[in-house]
Amino acid sequence: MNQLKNIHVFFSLSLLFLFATCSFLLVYSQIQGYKKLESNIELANEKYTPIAYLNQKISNYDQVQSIDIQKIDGISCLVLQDDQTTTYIYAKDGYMQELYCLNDMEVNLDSGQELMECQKLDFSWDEIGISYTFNNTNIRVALHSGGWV
Amino acid sequence: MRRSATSTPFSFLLEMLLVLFFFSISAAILVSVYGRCVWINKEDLLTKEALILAQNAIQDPLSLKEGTYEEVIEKQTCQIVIEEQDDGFGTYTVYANEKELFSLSYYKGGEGE
Repeated sequence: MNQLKNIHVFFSLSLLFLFATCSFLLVYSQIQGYKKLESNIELANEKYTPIAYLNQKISNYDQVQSIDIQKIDGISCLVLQDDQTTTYIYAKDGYMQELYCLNDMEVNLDSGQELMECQKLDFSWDEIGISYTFNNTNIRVALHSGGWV
Repeated sequence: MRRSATSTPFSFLLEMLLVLFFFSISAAILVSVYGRCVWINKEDLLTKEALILAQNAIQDPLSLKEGTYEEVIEKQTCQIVIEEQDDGFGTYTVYANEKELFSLSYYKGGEGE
């Protein structure tokens, strides 16, 4: 009888051990999985938010003589101009930066405001408007006004 | 005395079996929820990448030609269906695994424009 009792205790404890192990593995795998999902979402946001921002900016300035592309200190800049102000958008020091200044002011790209992380941002003219490369993604934006400076 | 000595471990065993049973049910639910999350995330990324492709294409609607095309997006082959209507409008639809991801409409212009 004593031996039977030992067997019962052994099986019960092994079940308890199995339960504890499975619980731990399940919680651990779920934590790892959700961490991976979160990093995927974060990476996607880092990619698509600046693109949406740039597209919106370009669309807002889609008027005659409002948009230009310039190279300042070897950096490709998108220049958005209205009657009084000029906005420069460019990549510097690992960030997409925006410099907002009056039309007659001298441009200093060091004083731009850091917006979002960005390794590469190159603007160029396209047959339909502007095309730019954000990190490794090529985007085209048609200018309906044909509005380059 | 003999009876109580054997019934205690046995009841513990039964209880553990019951616990394991409910644990396996909840684990199955959790794993399926996680699997669904992964699938939604993948589909979301695929849709975003396909949207960029579609937006780039629609920026120049005159270059679009009616037909069905295949494009590899996020390591998955997607079907792109471009349809044109007589009134100058067109639709740009992207399918993945025979499921429609999204459909965008564009204006190409009427004849002679």
